Amino acid sequence: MGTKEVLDKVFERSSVWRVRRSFTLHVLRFVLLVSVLYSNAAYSQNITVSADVTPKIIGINETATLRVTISANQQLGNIAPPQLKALPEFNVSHGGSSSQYNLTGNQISVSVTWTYMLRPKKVGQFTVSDIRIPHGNKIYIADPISLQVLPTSKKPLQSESTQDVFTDPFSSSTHKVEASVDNLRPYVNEQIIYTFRYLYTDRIPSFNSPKYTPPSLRQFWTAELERKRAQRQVIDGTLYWIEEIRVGLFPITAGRVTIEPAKLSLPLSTGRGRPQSSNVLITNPVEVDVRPLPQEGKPTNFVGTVGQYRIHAQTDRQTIEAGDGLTLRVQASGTGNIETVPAPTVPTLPNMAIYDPQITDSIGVVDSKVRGSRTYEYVIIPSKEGDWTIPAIDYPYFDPQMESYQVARTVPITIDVLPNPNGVVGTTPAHTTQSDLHLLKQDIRYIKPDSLKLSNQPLQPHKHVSFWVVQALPIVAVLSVWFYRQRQAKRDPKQLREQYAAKNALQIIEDAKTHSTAQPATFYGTLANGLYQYIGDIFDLSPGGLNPELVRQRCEVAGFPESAIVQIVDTLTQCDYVRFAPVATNPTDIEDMLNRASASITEIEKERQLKI
Amino acid sequence: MKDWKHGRIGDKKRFVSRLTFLICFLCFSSWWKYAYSQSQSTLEASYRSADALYQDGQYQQAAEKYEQIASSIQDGAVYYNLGNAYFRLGNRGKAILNYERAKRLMPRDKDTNFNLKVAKARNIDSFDLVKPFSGFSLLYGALRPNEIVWVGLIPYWIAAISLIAIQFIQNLRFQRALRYVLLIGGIGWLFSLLLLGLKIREINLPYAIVVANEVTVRSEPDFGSETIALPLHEGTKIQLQEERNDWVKIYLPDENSGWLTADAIEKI
Repeated sequence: MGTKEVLDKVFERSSVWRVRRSFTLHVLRFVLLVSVLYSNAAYSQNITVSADVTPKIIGINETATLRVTISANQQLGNIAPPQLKALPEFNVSHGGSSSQYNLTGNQISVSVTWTYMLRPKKVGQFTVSDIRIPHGNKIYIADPISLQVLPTSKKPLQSESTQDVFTDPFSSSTHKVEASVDNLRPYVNEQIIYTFRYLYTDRIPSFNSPKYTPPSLRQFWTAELERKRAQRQVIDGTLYWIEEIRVGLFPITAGRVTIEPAKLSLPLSTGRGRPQSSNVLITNPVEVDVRPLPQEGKPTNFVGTVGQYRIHAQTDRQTIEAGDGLTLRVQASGTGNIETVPAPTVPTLPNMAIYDPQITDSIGVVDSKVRGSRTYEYVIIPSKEGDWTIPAIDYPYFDPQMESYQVARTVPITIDVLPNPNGVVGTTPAHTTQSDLHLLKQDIRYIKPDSLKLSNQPLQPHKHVSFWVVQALPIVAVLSVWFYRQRQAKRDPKQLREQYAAKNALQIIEDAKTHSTAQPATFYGTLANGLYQYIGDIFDLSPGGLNPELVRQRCEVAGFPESAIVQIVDTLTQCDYVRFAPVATNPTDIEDMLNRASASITEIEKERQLKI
Repeated sequence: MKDWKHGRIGDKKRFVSRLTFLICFLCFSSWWKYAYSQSQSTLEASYRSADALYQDGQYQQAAEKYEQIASSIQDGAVYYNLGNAYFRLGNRGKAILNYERAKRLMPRDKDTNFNLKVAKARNIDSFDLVKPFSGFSLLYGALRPNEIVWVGLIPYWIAAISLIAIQFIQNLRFQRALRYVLLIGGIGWLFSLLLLGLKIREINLPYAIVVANEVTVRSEPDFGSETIALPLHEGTKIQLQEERNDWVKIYLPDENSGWLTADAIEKI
């Protein structure tokens, strides 16, 4: 019984379903077809399991990476991680897993990779085997792999791998470097292009960028070439990003020259926090066989110029007076190492002095070829009138494309040298610096205008009265003010008292000393008078109306230092006390009183001086 | 009363004498100003005619006119134009001499410095026989002596005003600040006087220019003495050490000296 008949039997008696019978029939047919196809595909899917360890030889302190991969040409669904047999010789740590899904034409390929870090515990030859991955009803087993552990590490712990390919275990991206030149048999001084290529399937997840270390290129002149943007290219079925660094090289000497490998330090993957050595990719060395320039056909005036060149010469003027300078501008332009091109030889010219040229370069890179122009500016000074000709200037070079010597040539230039109107030609200046030569071609600037106001500009100002007047004026002004203040003080009794307050007070204190031992009461009285006199003079008060408290108030208002106020008030209080209630005093007390009185006056005077 | 009368008479006399002095002073100053402006206008007329001669290409006559003006007034423009006239006449030594004189009076003038370079570039001797001067010249090289005086007067006057103000100001803080201003102004003034002294000393150094086509350097002021160096050529700047009769002693490199005939050089 076919499918159609079965369905007919199921639906034949149901009037409701009968309406949609035809549609449902089609749907069921489609479902059956898909399931049949799926079952066929399941039977035909090709599942493989592989294991790989890198590197295969490690030191006892190093770590190997074990990668177990299951791949199929259909969806794998949920897959359990690999079952590893116990590896007692290693410390095993899981480094994560990654999966890849590729669709090429109608073909699907799926792979899942688990990464493990193996750190050896002992030395020896070991086999990692019995790696199983169960899937569906089957168990898939990877081929055994061997790993050798050496007693000593050839490299330090943070070592560099010396390879040109690296696969990042975390991102599963592949990184490769390579180096090449476009011409392995160049001539001396012929440009070749050295290309360093960095190929990668994906960037390493890191904050840092790969670091390029160029090879030593001491046997070449070098020129930086234009940089291309990263490009994508499929190589052996894998899509790579390609970045290039290109350098123009001009071999200096003939013979076999080896360009040492270039290096690319890849950054460490971030985010995993697992121990890992940094990876340095190293290119292959490149051997170049530099050919010497042929002797055959070499011009006698050849100076080693290689490339393709043109030459052009012109002067800044055709007519000149004898003794004046003109500029001969010779420009060599073309393709080649223009920076090392020697100056063309200008023939010796009778009655003309030719100076060393000033050189200016204009160099660039076009289509990865170094090209540009170099201009030589010669200053020529004719010393005699007449029609003189600068003959053609030869510029021989070797053309590596034609593999023969060529000569570029300028057109002769005729100069009409007129007699010097001043009749001065004489000897030629002996300067050779570029700035002097430049000045030789310059004329002087024009005279100052006649609208100018002439004035005497003294070179010796100190010999003029005005100098001394302006120097003396400030002194006179200051002295005048000082005298004015003095005079004002003399006219004003208050100021006069203020001015001589300290002097008078100290004089009175000095007098008090004479009574110090014989008549203590007189001594204290005189001392108190002196101090009251002093305070009275300062504040324009009568000394008779003062007492220690009033003195304190006045001094505080005036802003005198607190220490001075205390001293002077204490002294006055003590003086009054002794005056009106005599007690026995000794010379030390008297001396102390004198010192305190003097000190307080000195301190107050200092403060007053600051204010004056 | 008598004293009062006497005092009043004294005041009147004093007033009359002061008025007489003022009138005399005004008369003198106006006469002097008039005389000065007359001579000034004469000089400027000469200057214009010299310029006209130069523009006509009559460099010899122009140079003579400029020389006349330069003998009456010390102006940088006159020396500059005179240098130009001599340059056009092919007299490079005199041209350099006058550019150097103009440079003393107008040290920042670009035309003067340029023309001096252009003229010196044509010298046969590519050196000057002068001793290096003070390292301070960087500070005052671009200033004229009277400019240094004016620059120095600024801190000087500030210091003086501060000193006067201190006499009157009661505020203690302000007084202290003024004391600092006084100190700084005083130092600035003294420094300007130092620079002025150095500038004047440099100006007074006996520099000269070789104006003869070629002159022989001899060991003694005698034509019979030996030649001790290569001959010097027109336009070379030299520094004089001594003058004796018709000879001048000049500095040579390495602390050596030689003698030249005085008519071959001209002092700047």
